[in-house]
Amino acid sequence: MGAIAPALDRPILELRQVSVGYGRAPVLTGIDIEVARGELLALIGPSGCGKTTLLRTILGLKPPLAGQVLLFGQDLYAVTPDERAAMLGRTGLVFQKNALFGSMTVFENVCLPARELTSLPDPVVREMAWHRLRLFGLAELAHRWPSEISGGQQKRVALARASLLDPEITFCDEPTAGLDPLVSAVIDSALRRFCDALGSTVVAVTHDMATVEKIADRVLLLGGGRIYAAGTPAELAESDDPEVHAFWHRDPPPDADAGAVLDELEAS
Amino acid sequence: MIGCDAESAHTRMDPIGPPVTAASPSPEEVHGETLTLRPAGELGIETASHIHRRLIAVVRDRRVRAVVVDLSAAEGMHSAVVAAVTLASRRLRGKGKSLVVRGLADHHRAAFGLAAAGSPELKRARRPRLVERIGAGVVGVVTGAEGLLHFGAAIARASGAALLARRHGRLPLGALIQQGSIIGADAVPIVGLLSLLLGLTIAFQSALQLDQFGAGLYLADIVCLSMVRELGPMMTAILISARSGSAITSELSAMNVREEIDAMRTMGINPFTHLVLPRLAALSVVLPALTLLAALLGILGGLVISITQLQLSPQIFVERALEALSLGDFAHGLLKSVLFAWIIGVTSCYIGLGTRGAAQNIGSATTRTVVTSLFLIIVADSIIATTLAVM
Repeated sequence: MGAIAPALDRPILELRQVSVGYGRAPVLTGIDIEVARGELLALIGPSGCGKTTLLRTILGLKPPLAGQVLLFGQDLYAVTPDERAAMLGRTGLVFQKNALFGSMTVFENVCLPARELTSLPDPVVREMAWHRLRLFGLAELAHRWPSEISGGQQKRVALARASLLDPEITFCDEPTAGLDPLVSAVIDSALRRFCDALGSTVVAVTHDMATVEKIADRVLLLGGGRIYAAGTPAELAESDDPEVHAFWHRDPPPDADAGAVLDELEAS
Repeated sequence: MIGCDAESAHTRMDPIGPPVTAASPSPEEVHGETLTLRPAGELGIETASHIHRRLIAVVRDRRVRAVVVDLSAAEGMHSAVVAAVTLASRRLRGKGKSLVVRGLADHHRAAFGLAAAGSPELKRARRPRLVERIGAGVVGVVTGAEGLLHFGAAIARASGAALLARRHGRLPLGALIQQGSIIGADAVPIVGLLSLLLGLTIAFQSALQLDQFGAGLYLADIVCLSMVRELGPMMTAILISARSGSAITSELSAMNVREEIDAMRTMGINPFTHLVLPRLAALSVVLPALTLLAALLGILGGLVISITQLQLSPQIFVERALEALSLGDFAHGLLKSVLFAWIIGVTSCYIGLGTRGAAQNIGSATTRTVVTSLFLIIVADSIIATTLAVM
């Protein structure tokens, strides 16, 4: 598990000419990504552009149609299932729908990775869980069941659980979707602190431009079946490309079909 | 994980607590009443376990009053190490001792910065006393009965409204046919096969006994009466309860957990009309039909045994069967199956619509449906049998 490690030159995650999709139909093709240690990378793009599919491929859940996924320098799909499990054990994941275990309390959910994956004494595990719960402002909810807390609180529990063992790289699928601005800010700040304090890497798939602008080191805009644009948040914000500008500034082009029926009726 | 050379391990002057070997991940030394730990290198999970064990031993050791954790030789540090140190610090303070951390680099400070102060131990919930448990049980039964009454009233209201409605709010025929097909038509093979086997078994066992007394002729009476009046309705109800009652509960529970039922209510759609009534109506129609099928196939099993085991002609078996059975017996079995249908339908819908919270509640709700409906079916059957016997 990820004790703080000095940044290595080699990327922690590398995608080489990766194509992903459903069946034989690719959604994204020729994806080349390198993620450095300690970096916070945001993957953005319109709905249905393949962000979550790409994330599932990076997590070993869906083999790519072509290309290689190198995690910690090893091809994720060329290793044995045991080796892959060990590699993924060094990562953290926050699912879009949180994936908390309903049969466990908040506290037990957060303790789970340490209890299952390490031989740490239970008092230490409990202390670690308390640290994380307090960090995310969840200490008061420790005894509650996941079904008894709000969506934003569930998201924070999922983050606390994913970060318990200092993962070397954490993947977040829509970490702030559906949350109020204050809770979003708490999660943004926590993600940034993990990168800074633990040297952890974060790859976040998101629609939340406020999050991207605030915490991302680098942004990849997916669209048209490829990486449409890449750069720092400031670079993308100042881009002259109309598609990038429209997406970044939430400024959709006018709908050409709007009012067409009325025009037709008036003309006739 | 941690570099620890033999020389540093031998610098200990007065070992305290469990012996620390040269391979220990955390070299230490003692000056007076102060123990100094000097973990070096990458401090990972193994180091955290070691530091925890060592410091907890020190908590109980009267010779040590102060602990210094010197991190100047440490590189990376896992959160587990932070947790082990903060936990030990709190426990040492509780014994009037102290723990100081020295040699912190910036990244160590950042790691400690993620740990919030004060970690209360979880208090275990007090086990309720016997009287409290009995009281809670009684309240549960009363509340359940009250809920069931409300549920029955809601069904009655929805039924009345569905009968009187001209357009909106009528019983959805599509849903009724769909449920009839799922609960009834799809269950025909399993109900038919098991009833045939049941008839064969009862007839075979009875034939062995009756033949000893030369009373094989009465096999038809035993098989026909038992299948039409008791085993047909009971067997079919048990099968449908396990097969369809559980399915109804899990479906409605899942809808409830996903807030689909609330969505229907907020749209002004009565869930009783659209979800409960079609299932109840379908059960009320198909369960008697399946019961009739089960009874006839059970009798067929008896016929097969009477021919093969007792060498009776089919004509004699049929004549005995017609003599033994009356329309009242069929009415008895079919009316009982309608009652069983209502028990299964009301129980499964009531529990399904009452399920709240997380997905794991769906499983327990389904189990509760099957157990409750089987219990009620057997109790109802016993009451009917006893009452008719007394009358």
